[in-house]
Amino acid sequence: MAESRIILKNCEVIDPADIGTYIEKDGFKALEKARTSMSQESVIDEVKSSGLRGRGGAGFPCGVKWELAANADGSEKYLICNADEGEMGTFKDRYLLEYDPFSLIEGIAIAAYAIGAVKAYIYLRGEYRYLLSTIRGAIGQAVEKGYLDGLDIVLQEGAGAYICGEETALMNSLEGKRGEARFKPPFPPVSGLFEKPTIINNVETLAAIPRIILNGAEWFSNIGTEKSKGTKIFSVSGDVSRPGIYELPMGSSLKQLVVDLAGATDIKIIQVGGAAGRLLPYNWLDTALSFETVLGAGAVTVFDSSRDMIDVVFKTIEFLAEESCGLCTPCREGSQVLFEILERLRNGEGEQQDTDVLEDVANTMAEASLCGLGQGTAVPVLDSLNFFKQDYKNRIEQSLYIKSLLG
Amino acid sequence: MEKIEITIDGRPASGTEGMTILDAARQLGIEIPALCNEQGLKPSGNCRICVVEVEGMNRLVPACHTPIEQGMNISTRSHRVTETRKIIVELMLASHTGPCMADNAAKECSVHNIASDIEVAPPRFLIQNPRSYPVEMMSPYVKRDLSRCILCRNCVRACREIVGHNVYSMAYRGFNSKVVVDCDVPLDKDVCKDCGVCIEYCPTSALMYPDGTKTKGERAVPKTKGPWTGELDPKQPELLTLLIQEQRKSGYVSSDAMQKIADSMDLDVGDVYGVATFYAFLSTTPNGENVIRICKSLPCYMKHAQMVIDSVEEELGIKPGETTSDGKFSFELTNCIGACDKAPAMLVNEQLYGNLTPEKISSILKSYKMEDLPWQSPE
Ligand SMILES: Cc1cc2nc3c(=O)[nH]c(=O)nc-3n(C[C@H](O)[C@H](O)[C@H](O)COP(=O)(O)O)c2cc1C
Repeated sequence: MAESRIILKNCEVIDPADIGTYIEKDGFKALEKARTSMSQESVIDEVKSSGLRGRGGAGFPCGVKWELAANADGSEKYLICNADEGEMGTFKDRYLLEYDPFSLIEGIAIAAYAIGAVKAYIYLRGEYRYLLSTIRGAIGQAVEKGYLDGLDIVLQEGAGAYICGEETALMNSLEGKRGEARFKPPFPPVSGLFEKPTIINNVETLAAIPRIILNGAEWFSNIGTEKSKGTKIFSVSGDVSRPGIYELPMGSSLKQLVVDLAGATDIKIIQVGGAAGRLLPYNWLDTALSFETVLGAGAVTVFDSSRDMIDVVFKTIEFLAEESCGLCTPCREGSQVLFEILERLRNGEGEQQDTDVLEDVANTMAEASLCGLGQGTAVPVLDSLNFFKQDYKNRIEQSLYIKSLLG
Repeated sequence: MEKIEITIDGRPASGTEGMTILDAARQLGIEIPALCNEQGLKPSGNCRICVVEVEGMNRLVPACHTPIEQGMNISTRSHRVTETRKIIVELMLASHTGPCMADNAAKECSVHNIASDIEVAPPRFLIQNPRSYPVEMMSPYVKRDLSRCILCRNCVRACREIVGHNVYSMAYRGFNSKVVVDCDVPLDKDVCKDCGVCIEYCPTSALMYPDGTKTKGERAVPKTKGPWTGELDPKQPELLTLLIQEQRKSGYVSSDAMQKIADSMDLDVGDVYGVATFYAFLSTTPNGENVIRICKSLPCYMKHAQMVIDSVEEELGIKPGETTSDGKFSFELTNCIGACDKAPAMLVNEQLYGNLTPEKISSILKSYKMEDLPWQSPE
């Protein structure tokens, strides 16, 4: 099966340093259409009826979110583009920013128009600093051409913190603070950055906007599944012969992605959605990728039969524990406990009760953590206990046997 | 004002807009255990012990900051709630040390009291590397033993919101989070006098009077400048950018630089330190001219990131976290840098290098060794 490049249509086609090449490909036509022939409400309606859902992982309906902000009191409103892309295994936003920054900028301009924001921020992770000049150049050219009249786009770089991709932590970081998550409510469309109504969207979500406005909601909603419209950009890594970026209609199967396109031949585990995502056995290969099933932000990492399941879970939890902001008890203490137990198991020092404790702690983190990081940390642990219980049992038995030999 | 009708543990209750579940439950005489919620302090929502179940919601919600809504059906002691609560306390106890772990001094410690109230069994897991710090006894007013701290932030908030000073700040991140004074120095502040508010608000024996006691009987009456009059949540959007610029200019953010930034923005230096120590790319100790960051997360790890680490170690003769003696290179391990399609990958300063092999690493490092220009990036 072939890819269907809709959002990525300009990537490796246009010159990201030359706005002219973007304009040749219908660039900024959607913005003109929105500004000259559509009211703010009709832009929002179009996005709503397209069925576009957030591409940053949570899948919240984009138009519904915009409407909340548009209807919120106050004249000062902000738009944030979330370019923090810290989720393990994810690099699609990097690709978009590198090869087609203009689609993002056009999307930002349309979104700002729709919700009535005069200031927009792009929060770029510190690890992607090498993309700053490309993005800055693109903004500069768009300003020169007059596409950004009445809109101020500010570029803020991060400084190494996965948690700053979480929307409220990102807002704290933009306010110059520690990137700790905030409790909700209030929700950002009501009270976000500087306590003003704020819309935050992922790079891919915003880059989809020009396509939807230009081609219409119906065109977009004809692609995909009932609850997941359009295409999705996937980042594929791990034990595949062709790691990279692939854009497929929502509802395509895992098999189409990792076997047909990326060339996986030996599959034991598939991690979908990064560290805080799902850990699935190979017999999930026929699963359709969508918000209804599994998706996250579209990171897919394949592990072949040479990989040790417990090592995979350990490295996943190591990542999440190191990236916990430390504000709430379940995440701060719980991820440390998970980390220590998994480290012991990995080293062959398992104990009988380990799986029970892992399960209890993970459930508590899912129930009671303040933000998606702590809640998400539970997912790989619970999935591995569910699908790969035998691996744990074997490891614990081996551990106890070795211990008994040592006396 | 419109009345909001709710049900708590099967009993009808009503409240007004802005009321939290905790307020509403208290009106009914229903006690919900809580540690970080204290009268007079804004909710923080960090301890999570006060979680309750609300019908129709996926997860439990903390009672202390969740506003009541029309028709909410709330359980404060369902099986799901009590099990979760117990494990949260168990997690606290897993890294908590102090006299309360032996019974006699238990009354002093609210964590211990809550644990016995809700029948938490002794923790099934003990954290192997608990947070452990020397006891601070420099101040004539407060003895700090942070190994016992449960990070509820009551002291930080009470000093600010009740007393009107800002002696404490949060620093570092994750499990290593710590309540610090200035740039993490032992507490010895003139402004403290014999106020004692932080001691009173501390639920554990982490903060004590110098004689090792916990209360003066009644809540201390602070001799203070009174509640915080400034903005509780100061706007400081330039701070992160200033720190990043300083990092880039000097290779790290020194205490002097933090003090200067604090002065220029009218902030306390502890709060600047708190921000600087949160972000992995900011360093409060000097770095080499070139900083090498090798990705150690799964996609790179499975593509032999260890080989990259070994090669860099061999080329430079240093281990992660160290700097070469000529000051040319520092080298650290980092989490996913979003180059998983080019694994194994690393950043040198801001430059990305992927699909690394030992030969490639050798020639990359050579190019930096030859370079005599300042390591500063073009921006
Ligand atoms: C720990 C954590 C990290 C996140 N990182 C990102 C990220 O890097 N990029 C992103 O767009 N969303 C990220 N999110 C999701 C955001 O909180 C938010 O849902 C998203 O930016 C909204 O945009 P969307 O509706 O367009 O997806 C993260 C969430 C969590 C809990």
